[in-house]
Amino acid sequence: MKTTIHIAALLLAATAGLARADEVNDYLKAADQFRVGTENMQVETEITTFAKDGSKEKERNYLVFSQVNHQSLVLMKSPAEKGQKVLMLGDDFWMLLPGSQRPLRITPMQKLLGDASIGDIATMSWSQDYTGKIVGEEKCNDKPCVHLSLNAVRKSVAYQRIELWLGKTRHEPIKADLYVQSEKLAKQASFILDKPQTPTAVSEMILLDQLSSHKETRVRYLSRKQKTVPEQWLNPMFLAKNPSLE
Amino acid sequence: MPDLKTPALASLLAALLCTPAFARAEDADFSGQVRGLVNSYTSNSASPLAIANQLVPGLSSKNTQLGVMETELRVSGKGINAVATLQGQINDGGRTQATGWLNELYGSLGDGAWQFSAGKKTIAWDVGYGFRPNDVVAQEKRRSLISTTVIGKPLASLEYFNANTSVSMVWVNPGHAATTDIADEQALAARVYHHTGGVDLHGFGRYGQKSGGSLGAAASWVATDEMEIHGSLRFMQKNTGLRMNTDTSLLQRTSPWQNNTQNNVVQAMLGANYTTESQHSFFLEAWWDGTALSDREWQDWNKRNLALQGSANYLPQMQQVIAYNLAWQNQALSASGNIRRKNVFARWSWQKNDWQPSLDILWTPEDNGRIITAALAWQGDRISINGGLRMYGGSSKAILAQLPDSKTAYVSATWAF
Repeated sequence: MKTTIHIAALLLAATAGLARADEVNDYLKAADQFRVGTENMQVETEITTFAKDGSKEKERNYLVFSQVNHQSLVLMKSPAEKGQKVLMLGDDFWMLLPGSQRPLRITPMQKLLGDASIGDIATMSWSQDYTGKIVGEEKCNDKPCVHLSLNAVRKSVAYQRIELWLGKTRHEPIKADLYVQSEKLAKQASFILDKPQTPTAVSEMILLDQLSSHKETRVRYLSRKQKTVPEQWLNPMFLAKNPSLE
Repeated sequence: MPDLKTPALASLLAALLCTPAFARAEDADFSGQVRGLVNSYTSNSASPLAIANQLVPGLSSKNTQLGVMETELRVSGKGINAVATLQGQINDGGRTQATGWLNELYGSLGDGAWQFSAGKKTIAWDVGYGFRPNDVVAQEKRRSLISTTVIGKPLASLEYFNANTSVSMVWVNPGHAATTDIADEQALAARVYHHTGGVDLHGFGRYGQKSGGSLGAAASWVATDEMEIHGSLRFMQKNTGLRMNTDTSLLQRTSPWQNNTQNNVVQAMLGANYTTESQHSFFLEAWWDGTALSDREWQDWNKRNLALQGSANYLPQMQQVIAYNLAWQNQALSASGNIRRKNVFARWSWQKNDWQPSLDILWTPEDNGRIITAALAWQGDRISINGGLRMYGGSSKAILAQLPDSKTAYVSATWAF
């Protein structure tokens, strides 16, 4: 009898655990809708870096093709980087420089380089890359929000742990603490939504570097539209052969 | 295929690309760079060339300062891609020179799986940084102080792509007459690429009109979050390069360094790249280049240098001939892309916000020669500035310690538009 009760209790706990995992995934899917939209997207992004004194340092433009199965292609559009591309296929990454016309394999650590890393720009899906738990309900700017603690399911994502706060009702992203593999807090992110009362999408993400530069980087999403790219575009050799894709 | 490397044609193209009609063309993508560069060279008094110059002053004149201003223009649209460079130079003698060239001008057809291209184009193959044995089309110069845009080759190519495989067939220098210069000979080259299980696999083949066949393979693998490992191997049926003739006389009437063909030559390279979370990068590559002169040949080169220098004391009336023979010794330095067969290259760099300091060394273990380069780069919004110092040295018999220069300092600025 005692054994039966133990098994029943364990089953209940496991079921509750699964239910919580499903709940976390539902939260993340809802948050992804605000950040990324649907699975195959073309996103125009503008990144502005500000020095500690608030003066504008750099402005960069990117065109990001975010595709299913952790596939993403980032095209650099600003004069200083024009022609550069980064291709991400799951855990594999390549960089293409316009002068050499030769794809370079890069490591996940090399992907982290810069004020806004390629991982920040590529806007990968949280629901596909992270699992975690609900820490509890808290107040974010006097509004009720849900605090999630997330761990990466893949080693190659830019941040191994994310502490994430979502709106309680719509699950829109409010803020996040982003941790790298060594458990150091790398960046603090806050999200600005298109319509404060009835938000449909994240219009801007503000990143505060906590590791080295302590600079502020603003990632503005200029446009989003559905786009499924041809399979050749996700072959690094095709990208080397075709300097301009659009 | 006409030679497009003429100032007139390059200027014409640059002017054409700058016309408002082209710039406004709906699909045209236009960009470019303006670069300024100042180089300062310190001559090496231990080099055979310097000693030849002491015997016959003015035998070889070399600038110690060089200023270069370049504009690079890129345009692409409607299947046409072009890159042109205009360059002005001024040396320490105040002599100026203006030139221009087309890096690329080619057309492409096909958007999907099959693509055809023809024109002057850069096709860069192989993995690695310090040495790329299978870069059989572009044959890009490696480890240059300032990265410059490669000048393409006349070619026609047919390529097939799917999600993780590509096959390329290239006809390089079509119509060129047979030549011993591998870079200019007519050749057919092919590459097969496949990405599987996180590994990039490459297979290469080339058949040159004069140099015959070669086969190669390369792989690149990201082993951990921090480390990438790569390797490359090439086997050549034949290779043509400069070798000392068999004439044993010390003083010769013409350069003793003549093209010679080697059979069954191997080139191999293995390397790794390690990047930490704090953005320090460590790079290590070791390679073997069978096209370079052997250890025995370099020993003979050293002996001949000493004998020629010694003969200047007891044959004062032959100083001019001795000087010429010493100057010809310098030609051996360009016998191959690598001076020594065994090479080890190590590099450290650190990306700290907009700054990147770096330090690298090329070491030749056969004679303990070395090239050390220290550099600092800064990247702003549109402007980047680079500066550095390259020093050549090693043991007294090391070939790298006997190059014409002992140091090169440089500073460059680039503005992108």
